[in-house]
Amino acid sequence: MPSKSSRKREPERKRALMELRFPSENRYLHMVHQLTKNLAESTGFEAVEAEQIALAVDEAATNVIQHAYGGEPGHEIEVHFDPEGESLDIVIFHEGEPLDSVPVPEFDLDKLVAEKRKGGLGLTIMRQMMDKVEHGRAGTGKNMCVMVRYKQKGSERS
Amino acid sequence: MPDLTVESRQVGDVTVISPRGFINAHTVRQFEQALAGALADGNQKILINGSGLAYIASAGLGVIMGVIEEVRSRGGDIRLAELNETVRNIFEVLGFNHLCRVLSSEREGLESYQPIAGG
Repeated sequence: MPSKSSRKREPERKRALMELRFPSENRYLHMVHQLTKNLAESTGFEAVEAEQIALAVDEAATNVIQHAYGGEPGHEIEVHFDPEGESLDIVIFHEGEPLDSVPVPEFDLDKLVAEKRKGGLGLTIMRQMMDKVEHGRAGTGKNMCVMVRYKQKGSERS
Repeated sequence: MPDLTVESRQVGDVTVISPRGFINAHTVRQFEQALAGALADGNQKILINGSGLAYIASAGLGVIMGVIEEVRSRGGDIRLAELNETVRNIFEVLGFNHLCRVLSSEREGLESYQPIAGG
């Protein structure tokens, strides 16, 4: 019989983390989109909110493929999902060009239309759909995009 | 099942474009070609029936954004109908509902192009 001093300690609870790695090709975007949507729905977000989060991740991954890797296939993109706690935290890692150095003007739909621009919406979608979007560099040296969406109800987006 | 199919048909002087699936960076070219094809044929009244559209990412919105001024300058327009809740929500969040008329049904979309009778 174990004594008090040798009582088994509760194992330290680790935060649940899901990881996904996929090649830098547009054909994988829908898979990432659907996985994100399903994960968001299963962690308490409404369907419309889950679609917003999925779209933000779709746009972030598209930016990595098109801008960080310049459309080159064969590079790796890594996505970490942390659905525990008050928010769904998503981090996209890549080893392409850092995206934080890309200048992004203030979103002005009328101006984009007048200029007949086809691009310029991706980062705006990410910022509109998520509560936090930050680009930076991870301790591993990889570039990363951190996106957070809080789980509180009554979001003004939906 | 294909990621995206795009059907185009003529109803009077309106070209109805019906994407079925999703529009993102992977599939956008099909959508862009359907729209460009209609405009190249001289059709300037476009109605996008979104009843089969699961979602649209910035690539697809960019296609509409890139041509709508030119279409309007030729007396035409790009209107949308039967968007699902998630697509409608994306439109509203980005202000596309102010850029394009969004009708609840294809019939309403077609009628919106008809001149108002009487007066």
